Amino acid sequence: MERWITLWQSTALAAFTWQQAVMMGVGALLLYLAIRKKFEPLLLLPIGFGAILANIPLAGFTEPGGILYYIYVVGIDTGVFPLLIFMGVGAMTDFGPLLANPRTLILGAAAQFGIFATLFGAIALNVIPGFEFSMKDAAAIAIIGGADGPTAIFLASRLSPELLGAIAVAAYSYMALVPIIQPPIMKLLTTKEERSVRMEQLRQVGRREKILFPLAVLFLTLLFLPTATPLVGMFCLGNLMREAGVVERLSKTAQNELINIVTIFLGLAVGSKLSASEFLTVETLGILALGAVAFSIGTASGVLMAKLMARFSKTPINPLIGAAGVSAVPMAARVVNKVGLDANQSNFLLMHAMGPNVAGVLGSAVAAGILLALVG
Amino acid sequence: MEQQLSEAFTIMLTGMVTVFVFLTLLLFAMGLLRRVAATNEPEQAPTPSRRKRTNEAATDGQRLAAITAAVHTYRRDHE
Repeated sequence: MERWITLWQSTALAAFTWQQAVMMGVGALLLYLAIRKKFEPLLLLPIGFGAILANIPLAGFTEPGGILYYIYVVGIDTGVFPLLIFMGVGAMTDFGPLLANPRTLILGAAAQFGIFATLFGAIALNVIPGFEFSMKDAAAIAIIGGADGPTAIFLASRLSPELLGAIAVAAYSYMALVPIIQPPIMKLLTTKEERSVRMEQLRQVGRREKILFPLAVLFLTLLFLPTATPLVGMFCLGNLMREAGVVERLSKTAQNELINIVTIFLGLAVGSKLSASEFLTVETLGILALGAVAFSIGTASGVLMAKLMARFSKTPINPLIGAAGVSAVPMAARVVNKVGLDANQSNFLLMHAMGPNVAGVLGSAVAAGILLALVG
Repeated sequence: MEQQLSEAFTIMLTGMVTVFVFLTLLLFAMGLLRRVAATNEPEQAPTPSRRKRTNEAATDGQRLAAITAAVHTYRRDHE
């Protein structure tokens, strides 16, 4: 009889808590979203699976000795994984459209208002009992508005590791929801005439300009905002490898094999943070709500800034491209293109939207650097 | 609480201003970059290469016309 009891106690059934079961449900939901709905499957699939593994009772995945624990410590605690991803993103990014129309940089800046407004919102949420966000927590939550996964994970791992799971899940889910969140806001703030404005063709950008650009960005960052150099530096390295044209092998590795390998581990490590004690709180609900607000404000301020620019510009500007200022490359630019096509069947805004889109990546990395400097 | 809110507000303002200042600086740097790239690059000559390409296109067209004409005469003569 005793043997039976020992055996029973070593099964998962006996040790299950309802919280763990719920978290496994959350993991399963993420798997469903990834596989069935194709929401950011590259990340949500490993995150969802990681969440299931992390909540298996008695298996100890997330305790010292467990694999998820080590993956987390090696990759996210140190900040290495998000930075490697950022290098890969840099190697995939073509700054051509931005260099051809540098003014769109301002749109990328305006959209970052989503981040800073949310910081304020998170602190204001403390009025409601049950919420106790510190300034660091608020900054880590706010960066969801940057619509940039690696930046969000990097900042959260520096400022508020216990919220990392919820922040990463919110960031990637909302990035997948960009085609649903953005269009109503874009349509609300623009008229049909504005949406059908045609823009002038972009000029061809020379190779030398493209090579010098990442170096110039790095130079300015190290002078004025050293706290942003981890993100911006890795990004520029990736981009330089791409544009230099002499290390094609490295560039290809950074944007394919390396980023894929790191993505698997990054997803698992984020999943390991989806434990019941850290995720099943009111704060998670608050984070999810704030994330949506951050996205919406970012989109709106980008569009409004584009309207302002259009008023003073000699060349026509379609205000829709402002919405692409929240990074989420290239999804946000595609959404702009689609909404533009709805208004004018033959108006292709994709390349024009890529400018503010990549400016948004730089903008959110800069915003992350500012938050680290001010709050970190 | 109020103190925290006012702190958040200051961070919001300083943050936004810094983002704008930084990206505006970058904007100027890009203008400079364009000029630097433009002064140096003409040596390798985008214009000559373009002219060459148009020349090539022209010769291609002429060649095509010549070939077509030849084929036509050949077919006509050998029917």
